[in-house]
Amino acid sequence: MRVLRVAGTSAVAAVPTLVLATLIVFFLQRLIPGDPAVAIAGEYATPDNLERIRVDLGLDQPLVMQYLSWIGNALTGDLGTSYQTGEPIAALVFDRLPLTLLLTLFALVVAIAIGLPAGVIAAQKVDTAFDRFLTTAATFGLAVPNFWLGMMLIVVFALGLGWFPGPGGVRLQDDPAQALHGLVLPALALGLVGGAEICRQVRSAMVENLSADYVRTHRAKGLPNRDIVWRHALKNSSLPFATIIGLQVSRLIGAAVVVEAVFGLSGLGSLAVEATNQRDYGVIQAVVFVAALIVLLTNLLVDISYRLLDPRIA
Amino acid sequence: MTTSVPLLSLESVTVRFPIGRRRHVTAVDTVDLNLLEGETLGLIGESGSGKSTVARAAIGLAPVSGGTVRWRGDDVRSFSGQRRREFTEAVQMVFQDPHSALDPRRTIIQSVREPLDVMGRGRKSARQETAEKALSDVGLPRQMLGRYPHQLSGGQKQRANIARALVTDPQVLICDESVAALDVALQAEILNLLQDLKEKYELTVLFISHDLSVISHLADRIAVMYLGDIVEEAPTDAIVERPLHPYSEALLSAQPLVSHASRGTRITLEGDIPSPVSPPPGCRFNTRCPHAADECRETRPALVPVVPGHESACLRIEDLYPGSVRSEALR
Amino acid sequence: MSVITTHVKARTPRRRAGRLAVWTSYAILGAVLVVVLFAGLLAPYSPTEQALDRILLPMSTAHPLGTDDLGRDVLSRMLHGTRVSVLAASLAVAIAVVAGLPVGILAGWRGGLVDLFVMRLVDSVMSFPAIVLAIGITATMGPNITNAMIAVGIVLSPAIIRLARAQVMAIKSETYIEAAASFGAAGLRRMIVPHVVPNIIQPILVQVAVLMGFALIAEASLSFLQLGVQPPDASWGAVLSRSYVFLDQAPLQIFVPGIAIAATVFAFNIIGDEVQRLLDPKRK
Repeated sequence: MRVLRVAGTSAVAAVPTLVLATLIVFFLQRLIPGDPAVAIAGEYATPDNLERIRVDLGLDQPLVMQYLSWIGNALTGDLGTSYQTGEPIAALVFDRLPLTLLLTLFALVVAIAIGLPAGVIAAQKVDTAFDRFLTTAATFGLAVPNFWLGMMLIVVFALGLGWFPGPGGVRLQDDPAQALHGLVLPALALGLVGGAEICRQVRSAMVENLSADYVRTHRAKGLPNRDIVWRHALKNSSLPFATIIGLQVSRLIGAAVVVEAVFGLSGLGSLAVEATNQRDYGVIQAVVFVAALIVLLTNLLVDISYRLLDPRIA
Repeated sequence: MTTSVPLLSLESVTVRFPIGRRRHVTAVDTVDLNLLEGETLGLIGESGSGKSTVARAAIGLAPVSGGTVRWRGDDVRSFSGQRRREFTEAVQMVFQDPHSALDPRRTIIQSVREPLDVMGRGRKSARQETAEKALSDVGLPRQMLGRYPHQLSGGQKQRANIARALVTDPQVLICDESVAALDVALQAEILNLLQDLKEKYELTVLFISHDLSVISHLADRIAVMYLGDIVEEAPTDAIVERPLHPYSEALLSAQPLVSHASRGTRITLEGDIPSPVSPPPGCRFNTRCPHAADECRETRPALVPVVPGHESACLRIEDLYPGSVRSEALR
Repeated sequence: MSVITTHVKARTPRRRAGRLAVWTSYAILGAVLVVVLFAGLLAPYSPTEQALDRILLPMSTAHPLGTDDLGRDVLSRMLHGTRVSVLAASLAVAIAVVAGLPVGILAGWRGGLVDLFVMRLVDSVMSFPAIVLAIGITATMGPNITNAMIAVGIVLSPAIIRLARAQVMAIKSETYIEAAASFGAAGLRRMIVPHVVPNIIQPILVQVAVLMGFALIAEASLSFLQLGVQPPDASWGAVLSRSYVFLDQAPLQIFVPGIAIAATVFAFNIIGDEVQRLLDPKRK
């Protein structure tokens, strides 16, 4: 019951942000230089053709009507039709979405598996040479572009050692096992950098917690250090941790889009790149929109967990 | 008693601050206060009594939600343009914390000159000269001019604050706990400086403090504030000799060196000052007053003259201070 | 006693490691600056001149980093690319600051409905993965480096808005602000510029260092996707993009641009941390 009520409160609180986000996506179309109809149909389109596109896109309607009809269609799952392939955009997007989501999830697991223990250990040894080394290494890790790390992994593990397939992945729907194998390197490329960031953030949250009074009390009671760190302090870092995860999902999806291009994976990223080359503005718009929806959904989950974890937030 | 128009006066001024949704705190509740030309008026009260808010309301830094602030008899809300500038110039304030009152990123001379710069008075060289003169009047050595606040001592910083308040050649100086942040030796130094400057600049002073020894040393008259209300107002000698309100009595008894009124018997007040968000009904002081009766919990006393020039807001004044009340004053 | 010795032991190496990273970072940024200023003098060849008889050469004294698939000298392309990448990232950060600082100050200073609206807008811009939104904006406006950096500037501006707003809210109730208001200081010229901006700017400068790192990676990403720098121009991302196509023939050529990006971003982050440490009032 409490979960439902909390979820409801969080969902309502997220509505204004969602509405503004849809407005931003809608106004992306306005950034098309010159006449959108010309941009879509190409310079040699016939006037009839242009007129048809204008009517199709509702460009002859007032702006408010355009937005309302766009949002109304989007709510029913209709994201328009691709002007290049003639396919429904929603189908294109949902064909590519699972791979991107899976890659992001993999990367998140890698990032947490590396960043969480590293951050906790660094926090325990705060201000030692070891902590300093780890923090500097994490700062360097943060500075490495994901997609370049992906290239280096390909050079070493695919071209050099041959442990993993090189660029040009298999579609998830065709051969799941092979496709998953192909996701290992891109997930590592994303997760190593994400792990560096998680390490830094977990460290600072834990450092704060380990200097708190209750930790001193536990120590005074003679509780083993392992219990204090891994049970009490970590549990009390769960709120910042939820924030960190929320941020990471947003970062990883963005990075995944670029890393997909490196590995030739047919996810949302390559869809966006293809759409750009073909000036398929509707598809670009849809990719941006769906990416924002995923982040908003993650933020919603983070918000709900916040409200459930922290008794002070009702 | 002359009935000349007060220089600065507050007429049933109320100040409310919003806190959260549709709730607010009444920091100052229908307060009347007159500042007469040439005098030093001391405003005393505990922290949270609203005394600083009174000062802020007087110069327009706090929102006046009820009542009127008057300058030489005229409503300050009606001022605009030239008149507003004159008022701003005429009433200046010295803040409590000498350190945080100076912008850390500006040099002392920049800060002191700023009121003149803002008002755009005269040429720049003339402003610089006025600012330098004010700084020398407060006894700040010339080499301090180009320094930043963190390079000065607390006493030097407060001198700079005073110089900034004097640079417009004001008629009224409001000192809001202006020595509270300083140690005792420095307090005396700054208080003496203020007295010298009062003569030199022919100032009228509103001095706000929680410290009776400071106030009684400087003030010609004292007003006592409690929880947004003025509970007693009288000439300094009268109030120190014979306070006519239980709260003032308690304040005085805590300062045996100042007071001769209740030697030996120190009145200790129970508990803390109540929250101004939900003040007690009736007399605001009833929750801590040793003499509170039933009527004190219901009726709100008004500030009335007890003796000419001596006003008190106590319902039980005739029981508690027999013989002190002159019937003609009450009428 | 033991407490004291461990304390001393713990301190010394930490300082040394920290100082090493800081000095290395100054050196990296100094070198980058020199290259940005004198790329034309330092580069042995033109960055765009093709020599189809010398394609994909390995490292040699004539071509220290080899040549690419069109026979262009990779070192020269890297040096010119450094200028392009750094200037592009600076443009993006400048846009973020110029757009973000006034909005953040306005929201923090005014509060109320203005603040509510601005923060909602910031939240919703931040709900887009930064790179995805930048891709969307660039792809729609037309792929070139200027549009790409405008897009990156837009997606970075919320960070500046948030920080500026928080800083303004923190200093708004300071007594020196109230004191200035008491003698009539108000508005942009008498309050915001002389009192507010100087007192909030330091943390913003720290943020600028961090954002420079982000913008460099964003430039590389967008140019790699061919949304940023267009051929034949060079930038770190463009060099990476080109050499990636011939990964199997000249795998070492992807190494140099990646290291250049990582080292520069690292240096910006370390210097950001260092400036923050120096500005920390608790240090004194």
